[in-house]
Amino acid sequence: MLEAEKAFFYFSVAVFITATIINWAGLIFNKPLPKTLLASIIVAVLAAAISITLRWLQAGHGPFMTLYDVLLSNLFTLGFIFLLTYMLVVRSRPAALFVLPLLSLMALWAATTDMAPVLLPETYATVLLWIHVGVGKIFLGLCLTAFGLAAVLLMRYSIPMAGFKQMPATTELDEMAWRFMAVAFVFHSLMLISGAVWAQDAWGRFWAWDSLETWAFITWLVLGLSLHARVTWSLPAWAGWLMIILVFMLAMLTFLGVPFSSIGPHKGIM
Amino acid sequence: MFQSALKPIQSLASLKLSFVAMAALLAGILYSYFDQSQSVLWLAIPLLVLAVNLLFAMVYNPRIRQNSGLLMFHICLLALALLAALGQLTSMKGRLEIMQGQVFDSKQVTVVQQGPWHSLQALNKIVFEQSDFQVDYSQGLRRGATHSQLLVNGESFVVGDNLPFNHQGYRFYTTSNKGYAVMLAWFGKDGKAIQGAIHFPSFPLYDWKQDNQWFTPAGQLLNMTFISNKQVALNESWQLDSSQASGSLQIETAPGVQQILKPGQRLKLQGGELEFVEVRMWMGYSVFYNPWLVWFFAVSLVGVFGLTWHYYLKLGSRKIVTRDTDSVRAEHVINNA
Ligand code: HEM
Repeated sequence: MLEAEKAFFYFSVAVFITATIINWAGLIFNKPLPKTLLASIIVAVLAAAISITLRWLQAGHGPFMTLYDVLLSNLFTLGFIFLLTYMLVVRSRPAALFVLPLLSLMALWAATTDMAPVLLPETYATVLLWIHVGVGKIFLGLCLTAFGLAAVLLMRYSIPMAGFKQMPATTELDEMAWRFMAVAFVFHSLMLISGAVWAQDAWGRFWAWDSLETWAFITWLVLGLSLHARVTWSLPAWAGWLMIILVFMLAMLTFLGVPFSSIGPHKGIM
Repeated sequence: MFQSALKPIQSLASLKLSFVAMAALLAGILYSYFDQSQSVLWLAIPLLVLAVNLLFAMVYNPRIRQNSGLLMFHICLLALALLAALGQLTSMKGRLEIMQGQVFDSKQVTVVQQGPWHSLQALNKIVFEQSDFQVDYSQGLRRGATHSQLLVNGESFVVGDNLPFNHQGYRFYTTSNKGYAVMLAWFGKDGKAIQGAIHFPSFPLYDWKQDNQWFTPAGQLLNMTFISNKQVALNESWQLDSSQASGSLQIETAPGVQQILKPGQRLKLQGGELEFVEVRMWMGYSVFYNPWLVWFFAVSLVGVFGLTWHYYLKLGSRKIVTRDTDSVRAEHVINNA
């Protein structure tokens, strides 16, 4: 592993943590969001991008294999998707309160894993990898912002703080969170479809209920169930936020837990 | 009166029932995930309820009926359930080992799953011959590309990894399973001569136990060990190439009595003579047949399109605050709060 790659990664970790502190200090001391927060997110994402690029150049393939690969690639993609949301959907900015610590935790987790790159299996040499992973990241990115909003809303609901008054109204944030979940559902569906096409080519079956497929399907179903629950009953808003958090937890388990604890083809080379 | 008679039927269209059935499907999936021995009914029953529920909802629920995108999405869900059922009835999965120079024979296929509407007769129409294959390995025994050559009516096809061999609706996929085979000839004292092959375990996965047993036509048990000339390199790249397969055969005729044969050599045994003719290799394939695959793909894409359309109509019309005058005003309000 290159020293420069490591340096940019650790720099990204440090900046994500700094951004988290700036963000929470703003809430606790009831200050408006400073411009440095946006700047620090940009810097952190950029540093992660440079680290990935260096790794890529050295290994000759993208970060798809090890737990470190996946955490680093998520640090960049989720950070980037959140950055776009932060810049384009201004009212979703309160989500940063939970998104930034989560990204920081993910970065710290990555720092504890084995960073050595491994070879890519032959079945990964397909455009389907890009489509499947790409739509999956978009799903997780959208789900992450929804999670951030739901967590902020739950906190605002249970711990009244002056800093919350600076945020848009609860109903607006709630609606926004569900918008993110709705679009995330579309991307999750695309992830399942592209995954099935790839699995058919690579392993000769489009669906096999292996650990990862099962948990991905469970996440999709629970997300569909939550969207249904909202149109079926007039549930209290907090119940909805809990559902969003549950879906996000399932998604994280599927993306970061299952592939590294099961021995299936998704784990890589067999 | 008529209305009240319709009530129970209409309740079959209830969204509450959809929720319960979806929850039951979730429970069924979890149950069969943690206890693999569970019957498929844990999934089939909730799916059936969902299908009935959806059919009734399409008739009685104006929210789904009058909403083109949503209707399209749910029809596709129903169609997918139907296709999954049809797939179960008509599909087949199997595996086979086929040796270099050998012509495919449907009898070689071990059927792993066969739908009741699938006739294995169709496999008899398949004709191809296994030619050479190469598998690349890099440091640490990491498997790289597989190139397996098949001959079909004089034409050559290379398959492997993401590229199956498609024939008569069947798909043949190379697997990580492949190994050595020895061609043997038996010349009985009774004048009968037979020829056949013995496959040894997957290589290099089981390079440490290349053993197999065989009973001669005279009834003598032979324990055989294949000794490959190919050294499995752990710390460098190498290629397993069937055209260069070579090695010797160790035969144990009785406990502790062993003999090593090279290709072309013979061994005298009870009731006849055994010749080690040559070394070849076998490739393992998985076979898959499901005539509904294209429909699956098409229906799922149409479904996602419907869902996107639904959300475009439902959410797109409502303004979301982006970087426009509204948001600048909003930030101004926030900053001055
Ligand atoms: C696995 C099965 C199912 C999934 C994943 C699913 C998913 C969805 C989704 C995502 C929506 C959009 C919700 C929104 O607008 O936010 C929806 C709406 C709807 N679904 Fe389903 N659905 C399923 C099964 C069913 C079934 C069995 C029914 C039959 C009753 C049904 C009836 C409806 C209706 C009526 C709506 C419209 C709700 C509205 O906009 O007011 N769904 N469904």
